[in-house]
Amino acid sequence: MTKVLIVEDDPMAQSLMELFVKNSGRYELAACIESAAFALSYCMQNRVDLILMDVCTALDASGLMEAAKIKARLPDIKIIIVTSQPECDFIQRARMGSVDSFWYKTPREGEMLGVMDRTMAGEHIYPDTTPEVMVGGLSSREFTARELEVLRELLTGDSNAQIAERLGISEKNVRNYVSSMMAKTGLDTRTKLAVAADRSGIVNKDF
Amino acid sequence: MRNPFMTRERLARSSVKESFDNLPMGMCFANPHGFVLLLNRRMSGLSHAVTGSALQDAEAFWTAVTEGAPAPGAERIRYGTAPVIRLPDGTAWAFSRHVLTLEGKPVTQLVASDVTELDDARLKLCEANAKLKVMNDRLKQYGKDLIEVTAREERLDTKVRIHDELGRALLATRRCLGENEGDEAAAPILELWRRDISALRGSAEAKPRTTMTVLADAARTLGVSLRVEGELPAEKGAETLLLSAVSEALNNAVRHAGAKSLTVVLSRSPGAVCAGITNDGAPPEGEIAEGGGLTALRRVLEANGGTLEISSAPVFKMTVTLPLSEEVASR
Repeated sequence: MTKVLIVEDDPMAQSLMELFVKNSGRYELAACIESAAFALSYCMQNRVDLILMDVCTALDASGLMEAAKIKARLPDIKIIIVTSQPECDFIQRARMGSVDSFWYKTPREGEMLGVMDRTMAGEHIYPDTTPEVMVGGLSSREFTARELEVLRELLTGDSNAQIAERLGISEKNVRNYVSSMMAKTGLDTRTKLAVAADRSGIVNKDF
Repeated sequence: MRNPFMTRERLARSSVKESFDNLPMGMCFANPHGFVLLLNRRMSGLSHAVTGSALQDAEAFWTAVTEGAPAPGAERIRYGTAPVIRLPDGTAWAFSRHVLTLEGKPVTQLVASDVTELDDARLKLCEANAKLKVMNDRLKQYGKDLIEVTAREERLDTKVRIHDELGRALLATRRCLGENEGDEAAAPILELWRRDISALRGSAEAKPRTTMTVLADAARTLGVSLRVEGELPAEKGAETLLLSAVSEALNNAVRHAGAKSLTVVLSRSPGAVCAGITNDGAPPEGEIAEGGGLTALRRVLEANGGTLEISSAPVFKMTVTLPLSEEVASR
C-alpha cells in the first residue's frame, strides 16, 4: 500500500484528507503533520511514498520551500501541493521545486484520489489556470507576468527605486508597470492597488 | 576733465561690496587665523541668528555652526561637514567651508545657502514616509487576515459537503427502510454515516492550537519526547522566536543525532530570557558545520537583538538568549 504523509494545519481539511486516504483501500496514512518544517525529518525516519502538502502551514513554514528540499534530498517521494490560495506564483514555484503535482483543494474525494493515482503512476498534474480573482475591476488573468512581479513587490511598501533594484529593472519601468496596473484596475493610488491585490490573494509574499 | 577710469574704479569698488551684500547667500572670507577679510550682510545676520553674536572670528563661527549649541529657537537639523541649521523664522541654511588660494595665500571661504524649500520637501517626505509605514503595516495585517479568511472558506466548503452527504445518507436510509431491503443494501449506507460522523467529530474537536502544542505534536510524530522546563515568555514575539529555535533543534536532533528526547531549559534574568536546548542522541563528531537552518536561525535571532551559541562537546547544545521588552519583563 502507498504510504501517505499529510502536511496540513487546518483540522477540517486534515480530517477530510485522512478520510479519503483511509477509505481508498490503496493508500495508507503514515502520519499527519501540521507544519511543513518537520516533513523532511519525518521522511528521513519513516517510509513515505506520497506527501499531500499544504502551502501555508503551521509555524509559518512554507510547504513549497520544504517540498523543494524534500525533492532534492529524497527524490523518490512523490509530492502533491494542495492549496486554496490563488497566488499565481505558487504553481510556478512548485514546478521549480520539482513538485510532482499541484491541486486546488476541493472537498471531492474522487478528484483528489484521481490526482493521487495519476501522480503515483508518474504523471505530473498541474492546473492550467489559477482560480480567478478580481483586483479592482480587473480579472487576475489579465495581468502580465512582469506586472505580477512588480505587484508582489508593491506589497512590501518599498519605493520604486528599491523594487527596481530587486527586480533588476529600471525605476522608470517600475513606475510604468504600476501606473499601467492602476489604469487597468481603475484603482487611483498605488496603495489602493496594493491593498486590493493583497486582499484578492493574487500575490502572496509570506510563503 | 574727469578721469573716466577713476570713476569706474570707484564705482566698481562700492558696487562690489553692494552686490556682495545683496547676494541671496551668506558669504565670509577670512585668513587662516579666522580674521574676517570680507563679510556680507546675509552672513552677518546669520551669525546673530545662529550664535547670538556678531561674526568676528570665522573659525570660531565655523565651530559654533558645526558643533556649538544653536541660539534659542534655532535647531541643527543636519550634522557633519555640511551642517544645516533651521532658524526661528522657519528658514533653513546649509553651511560649507572651503580653503581657497588667492595670490599664493590660503583664504577660508564660508558659504551659507538657503535650503528652506529643500528642507520643507524633506519634512513632507518624512511625513509621507510615516504615513506609508502605517499603510504598510495595515497591508501586512490584511495579508495575515487573508490566510485566515481563506482557511475559513475552506472549512465552510467542507461543512457544506458534509451537509450534502448527510442529506444523501438520509435519503438512502429512508429508501432502504421503506423498501425493506436487506443488510447487503444497508452496509454501504452505514459506511456513509460512519464517515460523515467521524468527519464532523474531527471538526468539532478542533481547538485553537498554540505554537507549543503544534511543536509537541510534531515531536511525538517524529518519535521524540519534548520536555520543557521553566516558563515560556508571555511576549508573543519572543515566544515565537524561541520556539523557532526549538523547531530547528528538533529537526537537527532527529536528522543528525537520532535523538529520542529533546530538553529545553528556560531561565529568566531581568530583561532577557535564555533557553538551553539539548538532546539525548549521539554527540556530533567534531565541529558542527552550520547548515542553512542554523544560519537562518542565527540571522533572525540576531536581527531581534538575541544570540545563538552552539557547542558540540561534551554534548550538542544550543543556547539562545533574547531580550525582553521592559513592560513584559517587569510583569
